[in-house]
Amino acid sequence: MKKLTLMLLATAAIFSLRTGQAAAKDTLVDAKKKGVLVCGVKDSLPPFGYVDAGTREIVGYDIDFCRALADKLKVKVEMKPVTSASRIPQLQEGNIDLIAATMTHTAEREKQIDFSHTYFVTGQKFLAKAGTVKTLKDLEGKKVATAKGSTSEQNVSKAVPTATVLSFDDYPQAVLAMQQGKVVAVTTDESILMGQLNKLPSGQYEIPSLQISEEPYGLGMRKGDTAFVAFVNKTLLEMEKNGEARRIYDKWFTATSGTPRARNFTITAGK
Amino acid sequence: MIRFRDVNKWFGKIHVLRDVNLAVEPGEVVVVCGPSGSGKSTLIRTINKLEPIDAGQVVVDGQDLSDPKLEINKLRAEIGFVFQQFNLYPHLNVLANITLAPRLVRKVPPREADQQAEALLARVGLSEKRDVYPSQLSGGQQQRVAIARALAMKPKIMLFDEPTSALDPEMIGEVLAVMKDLATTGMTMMVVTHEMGFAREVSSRVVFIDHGSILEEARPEEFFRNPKHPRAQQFLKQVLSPMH
Amino acid sequence: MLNYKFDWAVVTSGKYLDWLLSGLKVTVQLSAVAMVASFVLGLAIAVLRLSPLRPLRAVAAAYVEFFRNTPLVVQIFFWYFGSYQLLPAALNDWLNNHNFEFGAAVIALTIYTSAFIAEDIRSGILAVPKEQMEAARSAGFSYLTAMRRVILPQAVRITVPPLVNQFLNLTKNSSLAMTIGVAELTYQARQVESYSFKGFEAFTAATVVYLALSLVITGTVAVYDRKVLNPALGR
Repeated sequence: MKKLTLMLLATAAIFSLRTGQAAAKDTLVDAKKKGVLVCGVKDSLPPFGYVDAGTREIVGYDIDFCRALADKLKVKVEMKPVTSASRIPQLQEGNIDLIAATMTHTAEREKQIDFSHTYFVTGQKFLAKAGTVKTLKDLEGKKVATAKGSTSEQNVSKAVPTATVLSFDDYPQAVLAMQQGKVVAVTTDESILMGQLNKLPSGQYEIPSLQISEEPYGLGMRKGDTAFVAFVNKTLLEMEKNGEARRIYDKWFTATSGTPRARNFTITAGK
Repeated sequence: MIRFRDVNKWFGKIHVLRDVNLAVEPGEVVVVCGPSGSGKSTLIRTINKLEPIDAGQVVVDGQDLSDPKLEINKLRAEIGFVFQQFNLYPHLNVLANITLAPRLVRKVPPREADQQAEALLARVGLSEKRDVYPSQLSGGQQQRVAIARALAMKPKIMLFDEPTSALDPEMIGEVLAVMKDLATTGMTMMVVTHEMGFAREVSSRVVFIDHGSILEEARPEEFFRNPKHPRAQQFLKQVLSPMH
Repeated sequence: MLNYKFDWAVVTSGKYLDWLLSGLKVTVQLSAVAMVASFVLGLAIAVLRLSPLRPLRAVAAAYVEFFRNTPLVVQIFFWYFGSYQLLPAALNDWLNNHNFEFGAAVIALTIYTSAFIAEDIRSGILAVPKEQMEAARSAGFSYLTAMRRVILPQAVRITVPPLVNQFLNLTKNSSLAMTIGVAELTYQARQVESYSFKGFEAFTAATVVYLALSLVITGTVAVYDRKVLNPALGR
């Protein structure tokens, strides 16, 4: 019994592990001193951050925001690929100065890091054969696929309670099931769906404008890095005002994307 | 009933049957004897094609065993075979051991098969054992069940391959008694055995085989009184000597 | 340090319990159907594997090696996704409307497990003295009837312990059906975790249920072995 208790305690301890407190650090000063700003970015999630087949460099929507910030700081920029799981610890440990990696602004994360103003708004949408899903009614009593461990499933169960949700291990399988008619749609964050849509034969599939949740993306910075946060927010607002934010948006979501997407937000100090 | 013509067989390089010629008539009881490794078991096993032959011809009940059109399962159903190690089916009780082949091969209705089996069990003196499993029987009892099992197919020929060799001495008698009883019914029998008493009393002919060749073939009284071949003489001396 | 609060009520009542129970039901259905089917199929393959005809032996050997050495999850994907390319459109439509997730999982589990069972039964057959076959053939049985009525009943008895192992593996392997969205026990445990953030409780509950299932299988076979099989062999 004693052994069992110990085991339970150990397991619970693992569950509750928190990374150590971020050292108070002024990135604004440090980055200028080093002459470089290090950004944590995604490297396989077009169009946000991915390796360009021609130049072998990481490019994308997130990357352009990093570059703009570094330019404004008059320092060089370095891209460091991160995963969703590693990005916050990496920031806290000082390996990166800024997270620009499709990170949704949530209350839970706000306890650990600071967020900039929202620089992109997405939400959970559907990917389906063109013309088959126009309203949520089209999903009633049907099968819808998603990937495991995401919150996508809960959202769709709430929005269409009669739909059966099949959770696959990964998105490519969910998409294949949709292509083979095993499910009528794949549902998850729009950004992920867009990446999948670009791999499909053009014209046959679409992401209808139905949205069942809202996810604002923010840039992540160390907690208490006040001067840097203020600098980033100020810069974002300037970029919105002088049209650069929109230019970046158009570059990635209208010009190069197979499916033009309307810009459904502006960067404001509100959020 | 059984006819061997110039039968030869090899196990690899070993020549186990050499130019065997032999005929067994209906109703005959032929005892095959010889030293171990002489080929006598192989000889009897060729009769129901448990061992194929390499040259020559074996004809059983008018059917040539090398005929490609031969229906071997049909022929085997007519030939009862009793093994040295009994080979009862351990997962079936005594009654089921006896009725399995009649029911599945002869298509005898279950009730009729049971009645026949009970009659045969009475004949071998084991009526009270019908529901037990083979492992609960002594060797002698198992062999008697094995004989009943073979008889249940109403065979035309009964073959015995050293039926008492694996038995404790005190059980040999009970098995031989059943075989003697069977011989009196006019069954065609071929018996590989060292039981010279059985050969003397019951057989119509004794065949002596060594190194794969039939060396002597005679009526029992003649074979035992006056064996002609030197190796037969030596063999008889050994098996009949009380010291062996 | 200990700021994780255990909340066992999550898995002992309410909708999460219902989810876990429905997962248990699917796991039991999956395992039971695949168990019976893989046993029958494994038996047939084992007999082919020992057939007097060389081509049959070769086919059976290839079957065993192929399905035993391909990852189960790959096989599940093959039957679920790969079969789409091979089947006519009408059949695909029909399958898609008839819970093909479950069907594909059963097919994959059955075939995968049957390859292992075939090998176990084959060893069991080889462990039956060859004189048993001789005795049966001498009585006029065809090879197949002798196999079915004399050799296999004995072989299966010898095969009981490894067979229990295969059945236990099968039950655990059935959790891979969740990769194609079959809502079995592990799937539901994961589901409970992602809704309630009580992963520890959910997976502990699932573990306990798998353990209980294993004990039921082992126990059932042990009783069957003692009450039915052993007396028959006089052990």
